[in-house]
Amino acid sequence: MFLDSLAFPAVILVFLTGSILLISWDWRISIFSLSLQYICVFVLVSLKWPMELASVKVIAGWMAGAVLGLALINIPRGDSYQTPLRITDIGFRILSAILAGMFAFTAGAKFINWLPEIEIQQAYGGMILIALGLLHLGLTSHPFRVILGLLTVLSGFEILYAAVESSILITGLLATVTLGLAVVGAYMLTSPTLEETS
Amino acid sequence: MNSAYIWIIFPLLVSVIFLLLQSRKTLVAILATIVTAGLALLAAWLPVQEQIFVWRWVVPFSDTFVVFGRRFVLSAADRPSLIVIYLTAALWFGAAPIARPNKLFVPVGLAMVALLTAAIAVEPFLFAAVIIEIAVLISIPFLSPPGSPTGSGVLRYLSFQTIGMPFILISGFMLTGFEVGPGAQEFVAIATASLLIGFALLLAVFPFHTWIPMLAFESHPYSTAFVFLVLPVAVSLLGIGFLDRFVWLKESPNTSLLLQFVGVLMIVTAGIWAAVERHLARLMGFALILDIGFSMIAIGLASSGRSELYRGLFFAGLVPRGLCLGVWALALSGLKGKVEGLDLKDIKGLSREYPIITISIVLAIFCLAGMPLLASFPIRLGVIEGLSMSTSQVSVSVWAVIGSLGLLVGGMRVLASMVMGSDEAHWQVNEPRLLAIFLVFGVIGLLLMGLVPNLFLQSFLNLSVSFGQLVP
Repeated sequence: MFLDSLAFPAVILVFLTGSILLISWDWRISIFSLSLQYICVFVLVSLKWPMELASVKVIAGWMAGAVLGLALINIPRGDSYQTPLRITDIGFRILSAILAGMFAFTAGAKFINWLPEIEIQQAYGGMILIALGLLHLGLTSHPFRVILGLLTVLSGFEILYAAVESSILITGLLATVTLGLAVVGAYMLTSPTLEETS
Repeated sequence: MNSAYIWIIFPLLVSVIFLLLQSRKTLVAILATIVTAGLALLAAWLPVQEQIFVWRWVVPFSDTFVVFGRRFVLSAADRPSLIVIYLTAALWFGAAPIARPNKLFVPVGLAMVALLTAAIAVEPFLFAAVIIEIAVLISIPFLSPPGSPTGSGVLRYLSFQTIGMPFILISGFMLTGFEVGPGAQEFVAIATASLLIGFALLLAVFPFHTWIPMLAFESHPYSTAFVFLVLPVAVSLLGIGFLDRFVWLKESPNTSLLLQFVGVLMIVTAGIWAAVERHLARLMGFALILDIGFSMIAIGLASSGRSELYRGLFFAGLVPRGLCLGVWALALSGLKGKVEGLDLKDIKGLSREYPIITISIVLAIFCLAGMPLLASFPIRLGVIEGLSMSTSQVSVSVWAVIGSLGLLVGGMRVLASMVMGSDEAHWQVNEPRLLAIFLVFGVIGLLLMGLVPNLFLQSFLNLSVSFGQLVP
């Protein structure tokens, strides 16, 4: 199948997009990386699922990106997320991402021993996203970055879980969680500018 | 007609309507109380049969709702637990106008209750983890109200709950795989470790406990206490579901020991922090961690033998927890706007101005610490007795008592701060009348359950029978 040949490039792209999310301070680049990441998730999930069901992942992910992007357009400038990272910080993050990637490659190979239903590309892709997402969460306390980290971890898990569970209900529920995270993220970003209600 | 339409979909739709009416806070709270009390009454009254008669019409009725091949089942056996769930919600929403939480609290809280009902009805039970996560997501707006920046406690709460869900889903699949074809011990160890990490994240087990006191510090006490009440119960039911589903896991002696160890660890860590805590809302968080620790021990003891008794104690413990959290949170809400903060230095001498609030807070702390003559004592006694009998080393149960003493010390410090002050100040009751009535009833409940435990304990133990049906 055509998409099978894209599986390894998708693994590499997943690592690149995850790393860009880690170092990017421009939200436009972050949202673009997130949308690319969800295309890779779609490719990896479609190794086990029919394409129409796998497309739920990419649609939910893009909608999540759109929701976050719309929220970011509407908040005043000068938000701390826009502050460029220092070169040492970027270097540290890139090194950490490489280490996380190496861990993911080791753990991915091990993972298919425990769950043979999972393809090696899925194991690599899923573990890379989980490792980079957790790294992202450990390095930030900004709501937008936290949501990006959580979406990354969740999409990594969704790749792994897709190999073992193809229920439509769980697909719908996980898509709801993805969209819910984005809506919550948008709320967190805009809530300081909203009228006080209590 | 379908039971899921009544107890899941209808409250969800009503919560959407309430969202539209959110500016009328009191009206929404009253309506929500009526709706939830009505749903509780309906659970008690609606006949259990395949057809129900509405005036002249005969309406077919089913307890199973099928969505995409998966089922949501609320059978006749679940009715008592539905009564308990919706009555508790009615009480919380009924007191909301007095506590004055964020205006999103009642609509979103009702949706949370409906989602948690869905979580305990869904089959396979594993999917409950995702529904609980959705409930967590919708709780964010009332924990971090509009107009204020999102605190780190809310972010940590969201992160831990979201990361916990995948661990539970994947371990559930791995454990099922092991059940089908038992294999390598390494595989079982990985699956069990994944399950443990998942539940540790969801139930705030040390060292993943930090979100509880942080959330309690940042958010409105009443909203926080509501989340503290409903979320751990739903997660615990999911955990019990795991133990019942995978019998080999339940019957493994290591499971019981591990749960007891984790419980004692939670009690000791929470007790130590409670003893040195200076903020009343953060103290409530540590008290909750301590109580969850005792629940974990009860579940562990239920896995090792005398299952019915200790499972009963687990469910019975939820009643004093709910009452204590309700009284404590309502009292703290009563102080909002009247004191600068909820630190010990801010509440010095407050007992002379607000004696009912003072008594309520102190008794709620003492009750959660397991002090004799208060509601939690008989249950704590049973759990500690079971713990000392089940382990060869008595020191384990001694540690549990030390943890409780830590919370007691925290309570004594609160009492000392609240009663200190100049002798010239006169005693007077400044609490609003409705708040005073609610608090007095709550305190009487705490005392009555402790003074005459036999009157209540049997009905609490019966809760295990009704709630036991909810465990898939």
